[in-house]
Amino acid sequence: MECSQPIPISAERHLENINKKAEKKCIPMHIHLELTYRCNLRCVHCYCVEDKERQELSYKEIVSLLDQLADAGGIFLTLTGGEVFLRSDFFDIAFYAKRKNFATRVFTNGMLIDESVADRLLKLNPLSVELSLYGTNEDVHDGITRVKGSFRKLQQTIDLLRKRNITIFLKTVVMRQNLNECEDLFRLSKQLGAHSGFSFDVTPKNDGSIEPLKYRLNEDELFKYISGDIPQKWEYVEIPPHVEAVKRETCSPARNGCAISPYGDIYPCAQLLLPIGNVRERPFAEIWNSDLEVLSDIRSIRTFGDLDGCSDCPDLWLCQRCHGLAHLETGDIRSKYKLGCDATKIVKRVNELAKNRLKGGADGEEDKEALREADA
Amino acid sequence: MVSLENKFIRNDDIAWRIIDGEALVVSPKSSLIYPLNEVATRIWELLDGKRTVFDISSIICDEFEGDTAVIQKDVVDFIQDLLKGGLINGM
Repeated sequence: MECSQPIPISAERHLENINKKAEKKCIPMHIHLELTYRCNLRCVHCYCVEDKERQELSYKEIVSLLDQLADAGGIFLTLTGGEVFLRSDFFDIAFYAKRKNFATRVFTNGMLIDESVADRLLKLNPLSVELSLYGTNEDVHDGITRVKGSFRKLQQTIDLLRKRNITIFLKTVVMRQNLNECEDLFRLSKQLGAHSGFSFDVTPKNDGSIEPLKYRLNEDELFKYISGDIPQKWEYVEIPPHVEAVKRETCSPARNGCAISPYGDIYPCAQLLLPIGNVRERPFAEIWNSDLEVLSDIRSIRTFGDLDGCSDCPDLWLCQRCHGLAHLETGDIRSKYKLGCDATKIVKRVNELAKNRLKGGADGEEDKEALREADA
Repeated sequence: MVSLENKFIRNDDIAWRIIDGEALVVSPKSSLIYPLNEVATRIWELLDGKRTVFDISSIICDEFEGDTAVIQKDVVDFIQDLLKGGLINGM
């Protein structure tokens, strides 16, 4: 008898098999647990809106929830907010999760991490502590968090975590204000021995406000970002015939994972804010295994062929579609949506450029010709 | 070295879950995931610090088909691998 070879957590190809199995059997392996929407920063693009009328889940309720999630097959647990350290019972929750054999990730802005908190994090032994970093200097970072001194404090936090050899991810939402910082942020992460992560998704707030959208990259900026070297240079992708391309799988909310709000609402994923139930009203398993129409509808989307608005699109092979963003923008999880289509058009242009580079036409007329063809 | 009279217990720092009959064991320190097969999963469950390697081998022999000597050697080798990976501790 043999134990299979260990797989690095970052090896997505291998993890894919495990995820696929969970997807097929609807086992919620990945849990995104929002502990609070309270926060001590005021980031311009933040989507979280605290509902002061509702009570956050208590420690007792969370303990019961973690028991249920463990029974359902949950193993990868992201503890997130808001700012998780604003909950005075954060470590009680996190250590209970550890006793229940969860592999935890902690998302935080780092503002409340001092020596003693860092020591407790070391003891917790999470997979990673993931911090939001928006710039390489205080003007940019503090400009986005709208709290003076937050950049400085974050630097101190990174030092505290590094000294303890805790795995750090520095994550950046790329917006107009920090687009030019990406390369330096990438370099800085490397210097600090941290992993880096970039995303350009700026979404409306939980309450529907579109205020954050003004910080989204425009078309030219998005082109600059996608065609740039950070996080990596785009490599040419060969597009298969449409009859094959349409079988491409979409993401799979409510199959191998879910998100849970501070008030106990269960969502198919952190981006898809369509509540499928509340753990204060019914046990998790009952909600997860229910025949609720919205749940079966979401789970019935498997490939691009299942999306009426997208199945004829010639560019679906390059599409970075998210059903949650489609729902936020249009109210329909199956619909095409502007941010997705705009991004795909740009990816197509970048892909044509990459193809042209392969043909040897690095920066000259052929590049421009490829662009014109893509635009046409 | 692992011998039949030794007892081992799963390391508290290791995350794990049995999903559809097979365990996923995750080491946060090394960022490695160990997917276990059905027999390995059963051994993993039995590593509670109370049973000896001999006890565990006997249970595996009772529950799965195979030659006793071969199973015993496989159990010892597997536990040795777990020990090397820092997934279990000796008692």
